Amino acid sequence: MKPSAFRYERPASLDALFDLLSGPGDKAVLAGGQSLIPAMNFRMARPALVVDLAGIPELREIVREDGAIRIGATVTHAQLEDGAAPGPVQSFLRRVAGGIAFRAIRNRGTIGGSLAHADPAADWLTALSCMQAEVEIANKSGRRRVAMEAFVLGPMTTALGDGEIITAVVLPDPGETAFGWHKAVRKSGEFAEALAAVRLAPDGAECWVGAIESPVRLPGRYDPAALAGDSRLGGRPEFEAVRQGVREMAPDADDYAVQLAAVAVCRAIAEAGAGEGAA
Amino acid sequence: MNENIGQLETRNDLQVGRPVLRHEDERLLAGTARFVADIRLPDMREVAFVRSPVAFGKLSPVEIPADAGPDSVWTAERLAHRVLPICATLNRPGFHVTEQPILARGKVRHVGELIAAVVASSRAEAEDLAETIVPGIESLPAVSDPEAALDEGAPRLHDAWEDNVYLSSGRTIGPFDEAVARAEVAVTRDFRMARVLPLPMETRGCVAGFDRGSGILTLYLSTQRPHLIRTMLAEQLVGIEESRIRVIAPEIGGAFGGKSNLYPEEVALAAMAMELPFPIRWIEDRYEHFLSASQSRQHVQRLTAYAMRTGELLAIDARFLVDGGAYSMRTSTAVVEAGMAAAVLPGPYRLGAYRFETVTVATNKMGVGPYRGVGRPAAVFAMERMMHETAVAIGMEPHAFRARNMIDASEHPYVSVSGLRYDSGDYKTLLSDAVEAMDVASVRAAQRLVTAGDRRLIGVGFGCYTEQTAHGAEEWHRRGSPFEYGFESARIRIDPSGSVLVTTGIKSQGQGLETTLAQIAADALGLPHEHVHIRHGDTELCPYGLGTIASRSLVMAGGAVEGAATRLAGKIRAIAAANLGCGPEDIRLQDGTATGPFGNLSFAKIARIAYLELNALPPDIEPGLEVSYNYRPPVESGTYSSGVHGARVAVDVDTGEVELLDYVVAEDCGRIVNPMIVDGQIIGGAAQGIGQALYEELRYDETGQPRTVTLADYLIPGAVEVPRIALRHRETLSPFTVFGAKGLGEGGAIAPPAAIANAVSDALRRYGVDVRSIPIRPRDLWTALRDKSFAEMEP
Ligand SMILES: Cc1cc2nc3c(=O)[nH]c(=O)nc-3n(C[C@H](O)[C@H](O)[C@H](O)COP(=O)(O)OP(=O)(O)OC[C@H]3O[C@@H](n4cnc5c(N)ncnc54)[C@H](O)[C@@H]3O)c2cc1C
Repeated sequence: MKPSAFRYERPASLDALFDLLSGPGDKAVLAGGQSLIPAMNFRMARPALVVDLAGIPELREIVREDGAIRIGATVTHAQLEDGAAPGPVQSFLRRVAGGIAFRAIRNRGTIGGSLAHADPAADWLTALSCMQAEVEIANKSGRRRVAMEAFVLGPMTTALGDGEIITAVVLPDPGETAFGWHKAVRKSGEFAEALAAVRLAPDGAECWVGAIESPVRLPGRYDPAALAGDSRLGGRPEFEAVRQGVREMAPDADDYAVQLAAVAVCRAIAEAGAGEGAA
Repeated sequence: MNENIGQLETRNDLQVGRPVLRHEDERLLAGTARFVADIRLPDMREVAFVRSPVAFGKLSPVEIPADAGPDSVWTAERLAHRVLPICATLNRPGFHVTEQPILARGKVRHVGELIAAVVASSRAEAEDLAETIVPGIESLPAVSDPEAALDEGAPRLHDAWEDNVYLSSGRTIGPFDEAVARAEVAVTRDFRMARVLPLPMETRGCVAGFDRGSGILTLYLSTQRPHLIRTMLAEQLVGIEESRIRVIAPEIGGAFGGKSNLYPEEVALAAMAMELPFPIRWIEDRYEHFLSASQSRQHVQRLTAYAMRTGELLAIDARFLVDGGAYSMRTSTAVVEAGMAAAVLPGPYRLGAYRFETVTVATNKMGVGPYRGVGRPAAVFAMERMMHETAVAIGMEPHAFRARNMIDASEHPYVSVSGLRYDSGDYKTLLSDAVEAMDVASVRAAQRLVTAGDRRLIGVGFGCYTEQTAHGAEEWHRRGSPFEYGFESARIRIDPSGSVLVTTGIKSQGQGLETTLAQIAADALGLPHEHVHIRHGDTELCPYGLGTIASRSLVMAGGAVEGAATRLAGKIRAIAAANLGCGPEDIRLQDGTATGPFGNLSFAKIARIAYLELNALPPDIEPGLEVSYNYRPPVESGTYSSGVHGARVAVDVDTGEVELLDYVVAEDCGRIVNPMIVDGQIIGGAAQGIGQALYEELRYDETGQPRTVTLADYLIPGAVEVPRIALRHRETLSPFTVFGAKGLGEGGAIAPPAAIANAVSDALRRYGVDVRSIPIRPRDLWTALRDKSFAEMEP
């Protein structure tokens, strides 16, 4: 399990990076390496050139832009877990980041790498969809911003074009919005079996579901009060409505996956309603 | 100086029994221990293997790429003059032997089977070359399910066999038909237990070098049985005798049975090294480990229990079907699992009649070998699930039903219905310890309040076992093992400077034997244990021994160390007495000093006399201070440890998730030599058992492709998933062993699947759902719960 031979470059600027990316041959940009390196070790990915983003300071920055927060692509899960992003999004980002894998992986894995990799079970995909984030994409000739829904085209497929990279994620000011989050896992540190992210609007909870599919938004809005409490969800009409919503948005998922996702949604709603995950 | 002349046995300063810190931890914690992958020999090259990508197929001779260097690609043809296929035998009528080639020839029978070996200066380059070799394989329909393997028209793995059965056997013991006729209650269950693997943290690995001058082949190998591997290599390799083979097992990062087999990779490296002017190494990666390290368990079981309404258990009828994989591993063979399960099923219970049938089948999967517990986790799961369900059927509290049928401490030695001779044990006390720790009454009280609207249901369950350990030649012979693990060895040398070196034939893999054996030697010699240095795992340095398997080392090597140390102590006394003007019986040995009524001598002085100052050594005493001793247990049927595990769980009926709330192990391993090490062994074993109960599962698709080839696919419990494990110890000494100690290495891993499955079944009783397969998958529980309704009254 050793990678096939490759050339390694570590440019110090975006311009130098784009020059390298415009050359011929198979290339991969390297961020935290937590998805790319295993794929290379299994020789499923065999880039001839690996271009490391770690030398580009701009990609590591977190800045406020008016009310929004702009998080550089190579900011790590661990930084966000430790509260590197300021403002009202901080606590929700901490909550999500802290549930990704193990600390050792969070120390290297990046928010940009997660989005580019676009594993349906990636925590950021679902969480950032719910936060109505925009992905900033750049190439030699300029930058553009794409909403999450338009960025993720399907499992492991994104709107990134040839020679393009993610430079940042931009989070709008959520104001007083309360968020809720639930990750269903068989054991700690694993990828999710089901993910749910919820934002509370005045007329009910808006819900996103991930892992069983690339993130999807449920059609309905749900009343947190009706889904709160410790008693069994199965059989409650409000729960059945959530389950119907999941089923509709994830028609290929099997019954158990739908059930897990619906339960995850209810737990995330309950959390948002209780104010625990509130920003 | 004459105030005490007490014997060793009456002193109150024994080191056996104390939680002394482990000698091996200093190097392990400092990162200075050397594992196989740390061995660097001059000019060493790396080996990568070309492995079969298909489960079953006809293989054409491997074509060597035109640009490959002369000694870089090794095929079956190239090695043919050097190696013999591995044929694991068993002296049982009807047993079918497999012929496992070192490198495949003619056919491949499982994914991962070796086809060719490639040598290069780095592993990456070796893999580069390996991937250019595309074996010509014509796929054949494969069989990957044990039940399908029994079908009339199933693909047949081995041409010389008439079917796919390694061995089937069965017996009816006691008045079975009468018991069935008399029984008021009969409960039947079909169970499945998944295939798992020992999964040590350190994968397998081998460094092989051949010294052309001396003709000595040296293998550094991560193995549990260095001497036996050497004996087997002498048989498998053509053109080298055993005296010229040296096997060194350096530090081992876990083995759990997985390193107690002879693997084709090891034979291939040894053979290649003999033909190459430089040493070579192969370090298994985790992907290879999932394809080609021994796997275990995988049972399909049908059980029926017969009982009276009074709570008397009358008879058990059991059928075990075990998926043995493609080849029998040497020396345990594919049938190790089924044979053990059938023998140990009756456990701690008085059982009048027993009928069993075992079948082990060949499939296009990796072979099965011993894994911590061997057969017992599956047998205890089967038996304890039946004890639980039969109690429920009768309407009795399950632990009361167990107690009602347990063998009394006073009945020992007790011969079980399957013919095992239990030496000692107090099973009922262990059970009541565990019941008390689990506070069963409070669980019952909470369960009475449960309603249909509750999401989280709690339950409590138990798993009881007896474990045969440290069995000798008689037992191995009875099983038909070609190697009888009948003795263990120790050699103790006190050097002229007074330092103490003990060498032994076992091989510690993390069990702390360097510490416990030092405690034993220290007490017998009258020394602080820190002064005793234990070495093992080198066939040149250590006396011949059988290695560390089957929970044998503390008892067997402990017996050898104690025997050698006692003899050496006698010699020390004799030398001291001659120099101190007293009789040997007047000499007391303590703290490295021999003290007589009129003076004392340090061990260093005595050693100096024995080696370098013979003028002070009486002529009738042989010079030197070295004693070898081989311990053969006086009773060879083994000594029986026992235990009861208790689990308290919560099941989420919305998701089927199981949360382990509390876990207790009440156990009895006879004399405890080091309480800290005993606790560590039990907790580690229980963690593996919890993994088996809730997470671990090797999956193959119907074409025989493994679906679990990384630790992302194959879940194991981490620190978060293992609850704090409460321990309750009892010490019922064995009448047969040195100090009354019993083996304990495997016990922790035996009962968790049983205890947890019973707890989950207990939690879901109101829904009429009980656990039928291991691991307990949330998906299965939820699916089973879905069509069930809640019983308002307790059933
Ligand atoms: C054991 C383990 C457990 C894990 N568990 C989880 C989990 O629970 N939840 C979860 O969400 N993730 C999990 N991960 C994945 C982890 O979060 C990764 O960090 C993440 O998926 C990829 O980020 P990275 O920075 O490591 O990217 P890399 O591995 O460096 O790159 C991944 C891919 O994205 C591309 N890429 C990287 N950065 C950019 C960029 N800026 N622009 C364009 N393309 C880019 C690369 O070329 C590559 O194709 C786990 C990983 C491991 C090894």
